[in-house]
Amino acid sequence: MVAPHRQRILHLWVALCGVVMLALSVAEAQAAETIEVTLDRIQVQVGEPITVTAKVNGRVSGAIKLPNLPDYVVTRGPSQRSVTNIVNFQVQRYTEYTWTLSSRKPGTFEFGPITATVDGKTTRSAAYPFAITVGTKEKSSGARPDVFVTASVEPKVAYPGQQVIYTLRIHRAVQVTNYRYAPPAFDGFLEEPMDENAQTETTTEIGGRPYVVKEVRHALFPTRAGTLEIGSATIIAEVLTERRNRRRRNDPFDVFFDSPFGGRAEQRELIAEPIKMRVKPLPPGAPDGFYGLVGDFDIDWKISSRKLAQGASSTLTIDIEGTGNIRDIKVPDLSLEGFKVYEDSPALQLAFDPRSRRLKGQKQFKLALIPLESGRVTLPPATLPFFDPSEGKYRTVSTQPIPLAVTEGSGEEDAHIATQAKQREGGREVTILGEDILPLKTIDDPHGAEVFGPAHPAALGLFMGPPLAYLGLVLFLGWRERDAADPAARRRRRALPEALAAIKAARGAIADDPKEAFRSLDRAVTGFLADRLSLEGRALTPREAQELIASRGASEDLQGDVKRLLEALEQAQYMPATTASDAASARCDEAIDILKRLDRELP
Amino acid sequence: MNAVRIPLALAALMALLMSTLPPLWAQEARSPAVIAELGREAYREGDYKKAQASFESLIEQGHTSGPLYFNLGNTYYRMGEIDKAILAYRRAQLYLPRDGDIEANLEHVRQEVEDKLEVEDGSVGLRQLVFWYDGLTLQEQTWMTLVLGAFAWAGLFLWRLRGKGRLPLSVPVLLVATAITATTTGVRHYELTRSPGAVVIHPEITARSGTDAKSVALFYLHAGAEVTARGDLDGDWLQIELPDGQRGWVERRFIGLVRP
Repeated sequence: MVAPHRQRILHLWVALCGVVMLALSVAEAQAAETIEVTLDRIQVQVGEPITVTAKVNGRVSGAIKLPNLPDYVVTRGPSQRSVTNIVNFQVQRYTEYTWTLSSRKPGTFEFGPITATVDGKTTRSAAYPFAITVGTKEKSSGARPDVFVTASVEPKVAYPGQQVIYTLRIHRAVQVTNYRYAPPAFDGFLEEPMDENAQTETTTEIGGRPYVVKEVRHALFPTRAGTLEIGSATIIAEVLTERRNRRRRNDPFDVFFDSPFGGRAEQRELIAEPIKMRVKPLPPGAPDGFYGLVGDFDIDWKISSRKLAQGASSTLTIDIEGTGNIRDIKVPDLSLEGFKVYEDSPALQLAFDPRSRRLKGQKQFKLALIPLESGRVTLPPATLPFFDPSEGKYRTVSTQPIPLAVTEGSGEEDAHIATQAKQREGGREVTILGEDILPLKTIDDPHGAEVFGPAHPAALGLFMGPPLAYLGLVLFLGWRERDAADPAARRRRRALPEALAAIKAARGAIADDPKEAFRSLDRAVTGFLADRLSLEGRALTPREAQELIASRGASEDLQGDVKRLLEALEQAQYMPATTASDAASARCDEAIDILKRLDRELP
Repeated sequence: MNAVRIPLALAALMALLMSTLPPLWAQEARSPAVIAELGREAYREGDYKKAQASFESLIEQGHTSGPLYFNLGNTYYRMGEIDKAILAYRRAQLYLPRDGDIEANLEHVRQEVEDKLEVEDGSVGLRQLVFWYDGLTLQEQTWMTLVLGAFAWAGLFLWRLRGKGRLPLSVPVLLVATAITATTTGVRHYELTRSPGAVVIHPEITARSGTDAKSVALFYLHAGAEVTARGDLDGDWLQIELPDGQRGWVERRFIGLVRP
């Protein structure tokens, strides 16, 4: 059981909690359908920003719409963030949208309710409008601001097609960074882009205060007569000013922020007033061939060769330069009869001329001329009619005629005109006018067909000869080494040739000394046996010789023949000289025969 | 009467025989250098048929050279026969493989060929390594092999005759170089004789699957298309291979071989 007083306390706590939760839920429910709009200011100068903040409670689907605003009010945004706050036990969750508005004109306009679809329902902010007043600092203070822009055109009255320079001047007495330039709408004009040289920076003094003036130029060409309006140009930049007080620095909604240069950078929108200009129609009396060129032009031409061959190509270069609508220049009508004409893509060069502060340019046409007939012909002058606005009248400039001498040619040598423009980095375009094969070669020495290849017998011989010779060398050197290492073998190998040589010498000595011839013959035979059988001494009796060759496997017939030969040679050494002379020659033949048989049979 | 008739008949016979003999100045005009100059003169005058006849006659006589084939290629190009022009330029390259004029003219004429058969050669890297394969004529490659071989074998001979000392490094290097150049020269010779480059010299031909007109048509080729010939080069039908490896049989008479 719970005590009654305690039970009352518990009931009180429960009731209190319920009240708190109810209050929280009611507060949250009350905030859920609210779009709360705040403007940081409602009185501004031209170009000064107005920050619009919308707090939306609930989930937004689709786009959140600003009220309709005048055309001269520039809108940027919205940026978006989600916020959750608990204040006095109340939970506030909302989404915050922020826009920046600025007016290009002074005056007053209303800022109506903002519309959004919140939690599936279309919701509008509070119905009361803000009345925003836009003034000008000049009128209020009479002093020039730190930064301002002006715009002007030159000339203020022009003709259609005439070059008009629109100049936007940014005057600044303080440091300005991070320019963002939104050029005006040039309705009724053709605009020609200008290079960086068209942007200049000078200094001037206004009301005793020095200003840096940056000029941005646009080259415009009116397309029609009448009153044309150039819209307002907008520049958003960061203006560096001195540091403001601490309170604003700590304000989280402060649109300023610190600059790295020590000051503060304030983002400003600078707007140049729109300009109206009158464009007069061109006067009547335009010459023949006039097609709308307005400006000041000059024309010149040149040809690559005044002596041409019939059928050969020559390049005619036409240069037109000046100020005006150069891009519209067409190739002059030359009416060249008796020529084939191939036109290349024209080359256009435009650049800002600092002296005249205008866009100046050159257009170059290249024509390939191929004479079809021989003889002397003259290229008639090329003409260029245009309207000169400085003089207010039409003018025509022309070239000098060019006499040409055309010789007879093959007539088949038509040039192959190609217009392949090859771009070299950092250089000018090179236009290839023709392609052709290279000319004939000189045949100094017509010779026979190539016959010396790897299959030619001489080549094969030269290729295979060295390795074969090297192989022979290797074999020879090997044999020589083996021969030097075995003297007995060398004796055996040389036995027969040496014996035959000795027999030959003995045969030659028969006439002079037959007995000595027999002795030489005997030494040859026994020497052969000694070498062949590897004996140290060379003295052998017939019987010893017979036994030795028998032991080495000689046939019995040969054994007998050797024994008889040696015995006969011994006896012949003691014969009378006359008898020995007759028998010596026969013994030589017999000895040769026996030695050859021995060489075959002995191992 | 006979005394008059016989000398007259002999004189007439002599005159007839002499008329069949070429005059002495004609003998002079037929020297290769003169014929070549006559061809060049005819070309300059635009008489391309005469120029072609002059250059072709020199080739038929065996007086071939790179400039001669180059001039013949120019002549055919002027005559509008781009197929024969390409064939002549390719033949000129056999003699002058490093000549930029031939390459320039060949590339110019190739632009007019209907078939675009430029296919990445898989052996480009090897060919760059063995740079002399396409950069030297077969004769130059043969001489290079022989000279390298002569130095290599001479070094080996000297080393062997001096006794078996340390073999100088230059000798094996030269031997390897000789082996490589001998191999590439042999391959080049084989390529030129067994599978030479070929050019279609007919407006349009049909490559078939076999060596008769009833075989399946595989693809068409047009004048100036450059292919590779395979197999028997002397038959009525020739097997050709496209740069992408496709093969087919075509009639031999419609094909000009780069290696004549």
